[in-house]
Amino acid sequence: MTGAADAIWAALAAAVVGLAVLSRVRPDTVAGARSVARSAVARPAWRLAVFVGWMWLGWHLFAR
Amino acid sequence: MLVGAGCLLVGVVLAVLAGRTEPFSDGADAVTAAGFLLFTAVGWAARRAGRDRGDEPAARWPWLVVGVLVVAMELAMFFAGAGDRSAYPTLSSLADLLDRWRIFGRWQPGRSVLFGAWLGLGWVLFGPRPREDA
Repeated sequence: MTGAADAIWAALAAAVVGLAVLSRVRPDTVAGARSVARSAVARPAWRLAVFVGWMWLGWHLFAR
Repeated sequence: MLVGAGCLLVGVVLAVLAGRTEPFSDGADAVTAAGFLLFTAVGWAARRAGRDRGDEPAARWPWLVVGVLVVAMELAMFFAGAGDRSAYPTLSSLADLLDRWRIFGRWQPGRSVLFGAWLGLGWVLFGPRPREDA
């Protein structure tokens, strides 16, 4: 599975980079990552949920 | 502007310190907790600073699709690869690969970059934004 899993992760990373580039080149077609991220925290309840998720991510990656 | 510069400075210092810590250590706990405190303060201070305009016509669904695929892949790898993380890598196990790169003794620059990216994500999500009437 290693090769296939690596390939899928690489494809997903390429998709993120591609969307970021596309949002710069053609801003009328795809929203920018910053805009999408900010719209996700526009409501207070979502803001709190995303904040908890962000904290968990940091703890999981760096402290465990 | 000053807040941004101050946060950038503190973020760089924290990222460098994070590169010198090991998981499950007091140092890692402390530096990660410092990141929490920094962005709790920034988010609290910016909570009434303004809202983004909601009039952007560009599509957001491609990001949603990629996000769902990433979460699906993460869950699939997590449940399929218990005990065999090298064959079924999760995002965190991929991030652990960065820890193998060490320079100046025990400093892990990959870990510092990742920590900086995490703080940067916090800034994008919770940092100050332009006022609607600006």
